[in-house]
Amino acid sequence: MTAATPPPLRLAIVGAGAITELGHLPAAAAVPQVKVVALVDRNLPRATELARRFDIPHAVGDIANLPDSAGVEAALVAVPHALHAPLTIALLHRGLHVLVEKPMALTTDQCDAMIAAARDAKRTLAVGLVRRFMRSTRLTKSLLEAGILGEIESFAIDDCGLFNWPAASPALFDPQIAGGGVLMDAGVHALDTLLWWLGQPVEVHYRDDSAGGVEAECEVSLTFASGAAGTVRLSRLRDLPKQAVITGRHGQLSMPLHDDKLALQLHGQKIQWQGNVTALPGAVDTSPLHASPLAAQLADFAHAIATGTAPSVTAEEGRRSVELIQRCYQQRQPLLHTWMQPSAEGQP
Amino acid sequence: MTSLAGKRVLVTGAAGFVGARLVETLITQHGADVRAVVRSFGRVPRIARFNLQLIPADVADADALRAAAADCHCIFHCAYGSSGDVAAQERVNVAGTRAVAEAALTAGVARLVHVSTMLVYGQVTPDILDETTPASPIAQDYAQQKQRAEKLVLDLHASRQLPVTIIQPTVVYGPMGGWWTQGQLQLLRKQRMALINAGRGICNALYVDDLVEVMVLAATRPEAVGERFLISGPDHPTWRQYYDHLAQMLGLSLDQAAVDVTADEAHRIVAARLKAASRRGVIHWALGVLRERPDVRQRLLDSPLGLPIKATRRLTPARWWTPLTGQEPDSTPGKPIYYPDALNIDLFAATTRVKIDKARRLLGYQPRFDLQRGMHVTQQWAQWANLLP
Repeated sequence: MTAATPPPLRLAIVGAGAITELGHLPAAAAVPQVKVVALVDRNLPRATELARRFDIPHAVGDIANLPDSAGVEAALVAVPHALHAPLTIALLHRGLHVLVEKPMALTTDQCDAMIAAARDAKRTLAVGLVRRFMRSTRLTKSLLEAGILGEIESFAIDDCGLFNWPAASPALFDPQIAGGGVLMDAGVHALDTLLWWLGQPVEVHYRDDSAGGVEAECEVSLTFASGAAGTVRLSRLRDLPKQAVITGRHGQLSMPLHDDKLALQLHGQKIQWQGNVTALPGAVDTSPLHASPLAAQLADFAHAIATGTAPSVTAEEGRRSVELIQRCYQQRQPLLHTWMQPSAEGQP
Repeated sequence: MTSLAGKRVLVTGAAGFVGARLVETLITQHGADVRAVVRSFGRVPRIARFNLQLIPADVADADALRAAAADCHCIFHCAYGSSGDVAAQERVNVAGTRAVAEAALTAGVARLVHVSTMLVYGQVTPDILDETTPASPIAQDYAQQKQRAEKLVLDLHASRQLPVTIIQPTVVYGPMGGWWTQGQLQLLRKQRMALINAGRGICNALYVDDLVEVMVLAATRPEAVGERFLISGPDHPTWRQYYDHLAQMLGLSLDQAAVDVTADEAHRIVAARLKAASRRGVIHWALGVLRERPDVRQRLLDSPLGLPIKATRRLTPARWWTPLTGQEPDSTPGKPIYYPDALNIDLFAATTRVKIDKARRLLGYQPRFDLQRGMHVTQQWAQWANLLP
């Protein structure tokens, strides 16, 4: 005997940029618990075009124009960073559950207003920190909790690479709209996973290469209460190894950041374990490539609403990385590329 | 600080290799207020580090360019088209230059610096090349388009007093450089360069900072209006020296990185390949283009299309990809040999020395980076960029 399948969550996606086109729409098509019924973007021709391609019944230019007939229950917010807070609050006021893309907002004040709005409206607010749905990230969390590595001593994350995101607008490069550069946009993933794995940092040092605009490269050095210390390096100007390494007293875990693989070495042993992290039957794990964690995220959001439980990444969790980013920018130190300096005379 | 301090300056092609270095210099060294016209966002992060105005626009969009040029003191036209079909290149190189020149006239700018190329002098390779050398025919669309663009702006100078200065750079290299820097480093990692005539040809290498410095001089010196300037570095290294530097960066000896081939032999091999390729059809031709341009290939593989391409490659016969990998069944043991196309064989064979006396005299150009010094900084960057083993 099986329980009756609840009808799918009727979702509006707000923002028809590259991540919606390449990520959310393909992911939604693979998640039976969700049905995308409307696409919203100020650029209506683009929303209309994507709606046609993905067979979505409604495309509108503003959330005020969402037709009642669409029966929208929830919204996924994938718009430029500065609009995350105002749009999320407006949608919550309309009685919709919201999954807001990372970063949750530009400031903790905005996060707090969003959290209050969700509480007042009695609606679910989840944050799209999708890397938490990667199998390797989740398994790492479990292994750390189980104490496999012993006391954590150090970590290193190198992420990003030559910028090749097919951005549909220049929003990512406007300091007012993006709220920052590579740290705010992509670094939020690395910081969020570290906060999730290791807890709250007690010491933060930050350097970036911005000179009045948004940083293309940065370094975040963190020390955690446990004593674990390390650096997150991010760049849009060069290819970095795109990997995370965590070292504890007993051994080391390492993983590529964009693939579900994990390697475990224990100190003093000449052998290691490495391989794919796979899903057990029943897990949402249907779509190909990087759309898969996005599908898991959507299924988790729908499940939270259907059961009245908390989503995997709550607004309070989403706020943590915003707080850390804010702290970084407040104490920014300059990062200089020697080869870029006019004094790079190159005297051999 | 120069007379550009506080002045609003428009840069087209602002995210490109030369454009981005110019933007950095204009802002950090000259205190200019930069408006940056960009075609796409891929390479924008480098210049978005600064407080500047970013204008996404097609350089051939006359209305967009007119709006962008309004209130500008001067314009640096760095945008050029070298990808896509002939029509797409023509659109950037000729229609784009026309749109920029018209916008400059409408805005009444004090100066338009038009970045051209030494290729406008054509395929003939005299011992000495200077601005008085008559242009000769050249069988390359890009060069022909740049010739037309130069004529276009010079005609507008004559007829409507367009205050234009033309800069004709040689072989530009340096940090973030495309074909002559990253392209050659990537090439030498997987292939051996066919070093034409043992690399005795003259390279006329130009480090990007010297180019950018002379562009600023061209925008500010009154003597520059209506003039064309060939711009090269302070020295005349050989191609052998150029590739020796790149090989050393990669930890290779020149013998490991290159193979000596005479120009005649290279021409014969390339002609035979072309003939064979034309028999194999257009797909092979396209793959051949990808093989000739490792930088383009890498960008394609790094793009969202990369995975489908790699997947397709696994599912198709290996021989389909021969033009891409350049692996010839008869190649000598070791890495496959890369042969430049016919035009570049002539470029590598040429012993032409580019004279920069006019730029020294009228602009006060003083190139600071000889090959040794320019390559030293380039290596610092390549190391940082994780391009070296």
